[in-house]
Amino acid sequence: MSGTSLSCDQGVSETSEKTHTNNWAVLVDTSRFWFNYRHVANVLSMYRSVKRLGIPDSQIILMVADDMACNPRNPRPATVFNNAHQHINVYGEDVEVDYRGYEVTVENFVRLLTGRLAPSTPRSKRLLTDDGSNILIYMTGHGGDGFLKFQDSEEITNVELADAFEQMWQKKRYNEILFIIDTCQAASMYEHFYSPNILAIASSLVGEDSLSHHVDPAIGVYIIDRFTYYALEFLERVTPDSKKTLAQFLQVCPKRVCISTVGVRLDLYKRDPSRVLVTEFFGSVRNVELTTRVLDLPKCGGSRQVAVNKSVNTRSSKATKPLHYASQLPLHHS
Amino acid sequence: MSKEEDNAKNPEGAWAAAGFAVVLLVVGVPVWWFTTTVYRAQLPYSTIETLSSQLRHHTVGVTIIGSLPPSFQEDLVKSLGSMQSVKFLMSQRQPTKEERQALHSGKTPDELDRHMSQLVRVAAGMLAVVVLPEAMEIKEVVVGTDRLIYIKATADLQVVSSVVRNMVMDPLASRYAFTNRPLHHKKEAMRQVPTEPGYDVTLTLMVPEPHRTKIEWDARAAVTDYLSPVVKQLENVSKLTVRSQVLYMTGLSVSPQWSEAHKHYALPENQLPLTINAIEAKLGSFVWTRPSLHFVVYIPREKQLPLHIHAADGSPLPSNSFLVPRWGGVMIHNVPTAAPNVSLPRPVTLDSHWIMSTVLTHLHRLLPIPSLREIEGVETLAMKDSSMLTAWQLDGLARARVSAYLSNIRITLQSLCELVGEISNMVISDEVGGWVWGAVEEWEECGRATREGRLQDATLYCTRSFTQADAAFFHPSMLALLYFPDNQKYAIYVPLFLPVSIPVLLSLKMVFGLCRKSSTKEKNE
Repeated sequence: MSGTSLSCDQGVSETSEKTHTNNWAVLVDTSRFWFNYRHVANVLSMYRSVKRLGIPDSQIILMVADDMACNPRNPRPATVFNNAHQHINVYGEDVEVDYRGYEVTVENFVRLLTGRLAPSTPRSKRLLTDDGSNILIYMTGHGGDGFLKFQDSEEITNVELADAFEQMWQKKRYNEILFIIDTCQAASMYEHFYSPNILAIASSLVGEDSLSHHVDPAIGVYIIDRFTYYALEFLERVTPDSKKTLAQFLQVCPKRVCISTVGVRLDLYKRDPSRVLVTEFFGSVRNVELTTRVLDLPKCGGSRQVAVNKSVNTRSSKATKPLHYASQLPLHHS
Repeated sequence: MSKEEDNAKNPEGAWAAAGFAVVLLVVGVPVWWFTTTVYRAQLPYSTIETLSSQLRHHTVGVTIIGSLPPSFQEDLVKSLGSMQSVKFLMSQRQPTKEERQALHSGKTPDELDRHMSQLVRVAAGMLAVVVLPEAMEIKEVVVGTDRLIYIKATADLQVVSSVVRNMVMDPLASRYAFTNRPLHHKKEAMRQVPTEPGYDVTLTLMVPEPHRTKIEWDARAAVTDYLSPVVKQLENVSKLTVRSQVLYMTGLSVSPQWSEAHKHYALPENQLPLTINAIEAKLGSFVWTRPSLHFVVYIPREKQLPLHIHAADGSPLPSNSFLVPRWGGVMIHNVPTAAPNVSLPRPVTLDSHWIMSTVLTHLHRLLPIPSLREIEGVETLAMKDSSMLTAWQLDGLARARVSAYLSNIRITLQSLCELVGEISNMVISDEVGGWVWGAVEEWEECGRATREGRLQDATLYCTRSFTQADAAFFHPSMLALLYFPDNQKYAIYVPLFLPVSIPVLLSLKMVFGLCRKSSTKEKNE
């Protein structure tokens, strides 16, 4: 039998329930203007956590609606902090924003989710998921009862979002989705979901406002929101091989610290959250299979050995062909 | 009653009101209708419905050459008949004179197989079972390189039945063909790549310390010798584009332990899942949009040489490689440690045969190429002098892919019809309509070819149909967001037309009153 051993850590049986093969993250910040600094800090902090836990940039779609790092009002240019102590610059030097500024629109977001993008869209702006992908979708900004405001000029309704997820489900573009939303009246956004395998966490229920955590007097605006602050505190203690479960993540912000009540929607998610690891959404732990038997192939190219040696010698004597980069822009394969 | 008197005196008011109503109905409504209907190309909804509900099965013709005990044959037919998505057409014939001569000529299995393959020409998608004479010194069941199975009359029925089933189609693929969802609890189902018309295969050689080792490996020759024949064979079934690259100064971030017992650095299995995350960004998978398979050859760092992967029980893995489902494979190629005082960088040649064998092993499991390794008591003959696949392996792969395509196409087209039906004012351009019609036609052809056992035609039709169906589904104009749902239509039109039509309707009441009055007046007169 060929090798079929799992990536088991000592005594963990949850990995046998793992049903995904890759991880993606879609992190969206929908608000602009300087006083919404905290939303950019929210989404960039989640970006850092997700990257630290292993999801590569090619599988993270980061949508930031406004540029705080280079905002003329930023007293610390080229940085975005999520803490008044300014320990970590979450903007960093290797951030890869895929949709920036005015590209963050409702239409682009829904096109991204459903895959109906123009043929010339580069690969970094596409969500190339398949039926084995676990997707983490994190949205932050200003919201209301049944909608989320984009760019201060348009909104996405909960019905549209639910329909987009259904289109994804029908075309098998996800295995499971963890949907986290940190806005006011956030729970209204997951009310209309009807596709299976979605676990939704909202920072506040309908009728409640999500509050921000603290002000940084040096920068002059609120730096981070409460739910995201406590979620990040939790994620900072998660390592790529951690055993923390989603059930623990759901308890991360009780009412006494969050002031708003965290809403959770579990009916569409058939697995038990206490048996699902946090790294199944926030990290990228692959199932590996050790190869126990290699094919026994005959040695090919024996007769060509002489020819190869000859060509190697001749090649080194004449000038080597200049190397060139592979084409960076994908050609449209019709 | 003064109003009525006024109206009786001014029939012009009534005519004016009637004129307004006529203009509104006869001119206004058609103009509004024609200027606001969206262009919707006609789609073959009913054909899609009928084709979706058709059950699909592959037909495989099995010819038995030679004589078997009738009970054996009947039982074989019965046990093969229980396979869900494949229908077997059994037939039997006696061997010809040349075939009988070849069988009794006492050759080795390989020579016999080669000779018989030339004598018995089995069409693509069919199988033949050759009954060997008792006297031959050969294993009970031998699978040849070209769609022939050699059995002895005393062979075990179960073995023969499972050999035929596994050769014809991967058992998981046949179950998958009947469900919409992948079989999550089966690791094998999550291992194989999703069925797409083309894949990009990237061979990456990782050299973390190029200043210490100068790797001399002719990747082009290795690929031409080992991989190109397979790629060419698979051209019609799935198009593979092979590229290779060398990554310098990049290493896997692993922390192996020195193992005194084995005198090498041991890399435990539980460190493997996180190794490829760090290098994924550097592999260049962001360049192309086709699904990519990566095969990485890793040369360990000097201070971690030699590096061996250890399985969970602590024993070193001879192949020193692992497979990442749906992504590719990684192998560790150890090089001899540098002798002291040798000038750096020292040249090192890599073993192409070992590398390409591992790459092909991984490719076989990812595609997946059917294999009979798990069945006891069967000897499988492989191609000599070549890494090419045997004909039955190619057939089995094609069948599995056709099944996957058929179920994908059905889901895509059904979903598209639902979407289009829901939003009644979504524009369906001619381009999309053309693709959908094309996809449906090819889908029908593919279904017919599958039922008739014409495997090569079926593959071709299915690939084209799948590409067209996906192009139609993912067309940028199919976005529901761009169109108003029906209930919003009322919100737009009611405030527009109601203020205009209320006075007209009320004045119509007056017109009818007048008409009735004039008709009663006529009656009275």
